[in-house]
Amino acid sequence: MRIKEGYLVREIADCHIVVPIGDRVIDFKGIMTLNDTGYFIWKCLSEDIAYAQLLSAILDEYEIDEATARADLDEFLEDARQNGVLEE
Amino acid sequence: MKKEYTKPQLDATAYA
Repeated sequence: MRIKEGYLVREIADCHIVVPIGDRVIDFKGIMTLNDTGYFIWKCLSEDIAYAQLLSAILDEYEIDEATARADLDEFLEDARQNGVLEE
Repeated sequence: MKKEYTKPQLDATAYA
């Protein structure tokens, strides 16, 4: 899975702003914001990555137990699906 | 040294 092409991320005032560009503006008329952990996941998803690899990357980067990381990742990915930014 | 974890969030705001 990965993030679809056509989204730019810019850091503004300690906040990561996702802006659709080109044809993506038709798909999603708005902006998205990411916190630091969300941005880390977004960067991992900039290239095709398997779920297990993504979870492993989070566990390597952050002080967190696997069960919590997995539950939070599932929720984040569902948000990404709902907003149409995830390619699977 | 691992970073402090915060729950990942993706918040969407649609234009009017």
